[in-house]
Amino acid sequence: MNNSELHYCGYENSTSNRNHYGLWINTDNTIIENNTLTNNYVGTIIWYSHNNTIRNNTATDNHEGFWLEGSSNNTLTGNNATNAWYGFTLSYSSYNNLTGNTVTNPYMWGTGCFGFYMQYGTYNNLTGNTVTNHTYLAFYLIYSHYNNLTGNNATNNDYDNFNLYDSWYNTLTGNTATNNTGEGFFLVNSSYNTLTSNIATNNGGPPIYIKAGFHLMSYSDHNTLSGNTAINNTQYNFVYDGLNNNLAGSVSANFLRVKALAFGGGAVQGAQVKVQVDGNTIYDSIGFGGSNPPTDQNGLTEWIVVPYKTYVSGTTAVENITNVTVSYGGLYIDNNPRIVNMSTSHTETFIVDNVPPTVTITTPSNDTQVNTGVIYINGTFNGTGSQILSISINDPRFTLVEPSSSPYGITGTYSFKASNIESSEFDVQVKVRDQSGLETTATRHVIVEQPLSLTDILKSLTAILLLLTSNSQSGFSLLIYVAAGVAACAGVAAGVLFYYFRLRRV
Amino acid sequence: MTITIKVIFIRKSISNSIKSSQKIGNKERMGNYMKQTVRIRKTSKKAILLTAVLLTTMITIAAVTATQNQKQNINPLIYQTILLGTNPPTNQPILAKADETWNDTIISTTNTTINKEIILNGNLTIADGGILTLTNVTLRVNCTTNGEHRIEVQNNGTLYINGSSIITALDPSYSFLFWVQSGSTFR
Repeated sequence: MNNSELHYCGYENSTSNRNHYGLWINTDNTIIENNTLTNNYVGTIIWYSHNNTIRNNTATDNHEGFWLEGSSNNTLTGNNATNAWYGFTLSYSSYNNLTGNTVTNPYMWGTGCFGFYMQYGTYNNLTGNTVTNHTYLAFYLIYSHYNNLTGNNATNNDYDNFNLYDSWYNTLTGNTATNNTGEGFFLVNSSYNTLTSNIATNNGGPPIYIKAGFHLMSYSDHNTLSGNTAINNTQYNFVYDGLNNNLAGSVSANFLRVKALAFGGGAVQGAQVKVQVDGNTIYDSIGFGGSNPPTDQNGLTEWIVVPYKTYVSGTTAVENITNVTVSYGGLYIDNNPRIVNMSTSHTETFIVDNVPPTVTITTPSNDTQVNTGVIYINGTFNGTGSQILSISINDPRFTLVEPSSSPYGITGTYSFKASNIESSEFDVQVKVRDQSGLETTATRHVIVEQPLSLTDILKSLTAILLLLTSNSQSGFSLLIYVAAGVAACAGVAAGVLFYYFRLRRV
Repeated sequence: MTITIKVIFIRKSISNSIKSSQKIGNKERMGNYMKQTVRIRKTSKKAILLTAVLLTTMITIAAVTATQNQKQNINPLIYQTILLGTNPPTNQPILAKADETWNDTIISTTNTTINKEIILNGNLTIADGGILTLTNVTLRVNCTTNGEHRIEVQNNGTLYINGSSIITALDPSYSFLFWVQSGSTFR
């Protein structure tokens, strides 16, 4: 049957051989390809038959898509089952190859629905199959042994994804379980299975039950998990309560995103980021010689998968040390580099100090007179995002007396002192520089006016008298000249007055 | 024949009106046009009445003829009442055309069916040695209960379905069965 359609075939019935279920194949070597199968109870059921090929068929709105019962060496490739309770069923079937099949958006009936359901199956190969969109159990093996599941993908499903119940000696390699509500890889009463290089990411939902990326539960013993990665699974990445399980080489990881913010607010785009785990660089942008992108317009890097714990033997894990470094134009970045705790996925924020510091002069006030010979220039500073490394003044007569040593902290007060400053006027400029190298200056006009004491007055008079008595010119003392001058002026004034009054009488 | 004559008459009237309006002045043209219009309207009423009578007669004759043909099995054109969709409107049956109806059919030789719509009113059995090829065939299985009829490929029977064939139920409410038995060939 090829390039054709089959509709409304079969119905639910209690017949033991299920031949009322739909297109019922009880022979070998059939080829069913490129067909559309809709509204059947089962799209196709292979009943104790072998070497059949079912290829590139689309089964939609059937109760079950494809069913193999007691059948072996059949090949199902590139088929799609949409809106079915069971996408693909293998029951008492062995040595079948299911490759590149998909199950999408199945019905949720009763307790659930299944993508690939296998019971009492052995030596089957499921390779590159996909189950997506709200399947209850994506890949479900019960009482099934020695099967290989390789490169299968379960995404956006409503419950558990790779489930082994009472199933032994199965090999799961390179499968991925992503964004599912339940468990990623869930083994119950299942032992001696080998899980290698599988990835479980973002699985887990509300914590009603324990949910994990990899969960070995109740009597799941002697399983070997190597090279598996569990990333950001809601409750746990790895949980195990069985015996003699070996997780060596598996990694529990979480997501890290670096965010660069300006101290003054706003995202910092273009900040260079380097992430190292145990000394090994796993992310470095161009500023660090790598090729990973720097922060974007929102100040964010992409999500980076960072190992948190690595299992070294058995179920013993060591915690990795994650070191993150950020740089941006030589500006100071707070707490950088830093060791980041990766026990949970999170965004690590770095504050870039791109704001110049502030400085004030509180005393003396501007243009006010300072009446002392010891002058203090006092004020405050704020590094605005980083510490102040330098506080200086432009007048060498002043020395910094507070604070004592650099760095001076982010905020604080300072005090410069100068002694024996004579009366004068001058400008002082106080400059502060922060860890980003940004500087700010405050200026103050200072007037120094010494007050006159009695001693100073007497000293001044004495000095004048000495000046008057000691200085001489052409044999006459200055005092005689002053006296003669005064007498001459008085005589002239008397003569003028006498003449004036005589004229009025006339 | 009556309708044809009347139509010709109407067309001639209009044509004469146009021809006469081309020969005379505008005022006279308008007067003649109005006269012709009245005449045509009177004639149109008669034509419509006659047309209705004629159509009724033709439909009656066609229905009687079809019924007779079906009884005499002269014309294989078959109409079956089916319900399309899972919840069809009640009392609105839809006729599905079929080129053939098959009752219980056993294929024991080589048979090729191409480009046909078939209604299966019984079981279709490809028996030992039988080879049936369905190419671009729509086969509707007419069940009145679930599993009433089946398609069965028996041991040493061969069934090929291809070329955009559609195998479905005539009434989606009742599913059919499809068995490909051991020792048969199905492709």
